[in-house]
Amino acid sequence: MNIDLDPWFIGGATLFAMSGVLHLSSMWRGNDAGEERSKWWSKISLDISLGYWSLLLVCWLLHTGGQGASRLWFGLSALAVGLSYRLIDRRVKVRSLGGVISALIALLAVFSYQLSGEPSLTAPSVDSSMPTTLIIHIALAVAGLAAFAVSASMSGLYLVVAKRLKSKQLVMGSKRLPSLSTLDEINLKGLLIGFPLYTGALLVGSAYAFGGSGELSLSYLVSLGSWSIYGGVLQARLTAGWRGQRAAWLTLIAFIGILLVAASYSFR
Amino acid sequence: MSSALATDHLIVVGLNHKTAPLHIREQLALQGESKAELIKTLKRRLSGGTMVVSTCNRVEFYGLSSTLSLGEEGLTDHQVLEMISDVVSERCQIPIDELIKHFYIHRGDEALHHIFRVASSLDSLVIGEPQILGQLKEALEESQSFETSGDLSILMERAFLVARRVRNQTGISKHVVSVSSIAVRLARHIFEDLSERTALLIGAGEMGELAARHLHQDGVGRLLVANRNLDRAVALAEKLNGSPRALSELSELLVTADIVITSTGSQEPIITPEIAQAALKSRKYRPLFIIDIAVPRDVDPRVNRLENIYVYDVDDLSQIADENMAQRANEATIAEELVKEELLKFHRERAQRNLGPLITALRTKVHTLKTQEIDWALSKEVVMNQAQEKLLRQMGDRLTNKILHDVLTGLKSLAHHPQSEDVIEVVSTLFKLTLPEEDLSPSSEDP
Repeated sequence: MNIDLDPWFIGGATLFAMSGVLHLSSMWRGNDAGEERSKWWSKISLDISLGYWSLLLVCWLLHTGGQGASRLWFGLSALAVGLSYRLIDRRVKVRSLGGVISALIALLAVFSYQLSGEPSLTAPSVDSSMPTTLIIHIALAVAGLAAFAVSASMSGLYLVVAKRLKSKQLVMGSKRLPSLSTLDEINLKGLLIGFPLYTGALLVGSAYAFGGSGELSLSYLVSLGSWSIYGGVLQARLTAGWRGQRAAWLTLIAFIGILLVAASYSFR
Repeated sequence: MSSALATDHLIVVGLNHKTAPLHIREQLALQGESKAELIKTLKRRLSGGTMVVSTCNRVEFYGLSSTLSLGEEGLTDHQVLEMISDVVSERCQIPIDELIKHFYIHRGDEALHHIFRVASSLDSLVIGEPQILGQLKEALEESQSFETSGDLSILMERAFLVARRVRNQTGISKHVVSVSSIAVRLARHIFEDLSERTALLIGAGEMGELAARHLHQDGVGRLLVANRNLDRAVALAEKLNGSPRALSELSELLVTADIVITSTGSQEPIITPEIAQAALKSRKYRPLFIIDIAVPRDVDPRVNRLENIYVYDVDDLSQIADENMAQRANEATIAEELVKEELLKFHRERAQRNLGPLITALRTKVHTLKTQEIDWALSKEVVMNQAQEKLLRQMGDRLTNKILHDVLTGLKSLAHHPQSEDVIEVVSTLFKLTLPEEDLSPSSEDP
């Protein structure tokens, strides 16, 4: 039986987008009762979306035999980002990030939808014929992207909180924002986890690419550029003790680079 | 007592920040033995539940006793005021006339409404402040310990439920309004755990000291106190449990500290962009939060433009306090509605509780009358066979049921009517019904 799963992918993206809206609206509830209710709804909506997405990926793998590794790459990335957020949210209350994270997952889900699952040179099928180096590359890149996504979200929120504090805008919802020190700490942890994983992904990816066409693509160069920025930020933070807005900006820029690389695969 | 409407016997006499100046409130602020004596004396005079609430902004006497009811047997407002003033005057050395001038009196529903409002912090100087609920609870516990609370305990528990609902369903207590609390709240936006942070207090201003105290209470790790005069720094540091420093060390201190509270009398800024920039570099751009409470300012406004330094002056803090106060005022409107709703709910519940016994008593009375009259008829020397006697009894049943049906349906429909308590009173008087004492305890469906 031939089932078209593409609409289900866009359905997943819509669910994540809706969860993002619920997260954002939950930040502007006036009283405790309303706040608790909307907090519950936003949390449950993300859990449902993640459950739906996992099920969809399994169905897709079973149905297509894993044709189109890029779709799997983005699908897994979306899942990894969502799960990482849920894990962090259990330890540190960063609910205000839920909106940004859900939007990011929705974006990855759209990328995933864009890839129709057609077998191609850049998107081989996930079966026994798929090179081990590529599988390792995808696994490392997915994990690295999840860590960097968390790191970038923290940086974005850091800049928002810092701007509010600077401009003396203590508007409603501020109470629910985490402190600058918490955001900075999680940002650093994200970098510490993501950087080695992404480095591994780049090394394995390079080995795979040079073993094939041997060409240096633009995406590869952008990836390398992002990696350099991450390396620089990490080095500055660990040795020179860099903190605050500058580190947050650079982390964001590096992540945008990674997203551009991801988008270039998606819309190719 | 017939269907005793206990809130009719409720009375509140008191004065607060709106009705009495500070010196009167100060004289009335009773503590320990004298307060205990006052409660006991009131209990003896009123022979019912009594309670005394004494805070810096209010002194109130709550009474729940049949002596206090209005009407032929009860006391008038003036008599109640005189009686309480007499008791209070003895202990506080304030003339009775002076006390009566500042006292207000609330009775019945109005008194209950007032208690609900006080518990919900709607009658406080700073609307929404959380302390009043704790103070009321303490007052009740005190009264219970002297065994003077009586049924007041049940009404007070109800007031606490109302206060909790107001707190949970409105944002009345969300926005902090004191400058020192705002400073601490802001610090928490920057530093998650204050126990790992160092605070530096520069100068010896009162507000600065208060903010430092707040930080200390919130568990700031270390407190440094700097002053031009080292002796004053030492004295203040001892008071605040901190370490004294000379103001000449300011550049080094700015590297160590995470939170700076400054309130010196200097005419020129003591923290300039140059000093701050140098400190920032040495502290490897770790965030620095500066609260400048001095007028004129101790921190050059340009310092706030530097990355990772957040400067708040007294105007910024006051502006936040004003905005938060306005937010509270908005929430207070919603809270007032909630309190009114709760008052109505309270009356409905009581009416429902009282209707049951009223209906039972009415039915019993009518059926007893019916039985008595049939028995009377049968006792006369009229020959009736079994069928005729049965018919007579059936007729009696049908007649009473038909009469009762409309009356009881009408009474049941009154359960949600605001004046249902008056109707219960009227019906029980008309039919000379004796109802059991009412139970004021909250129903299980209460929040």
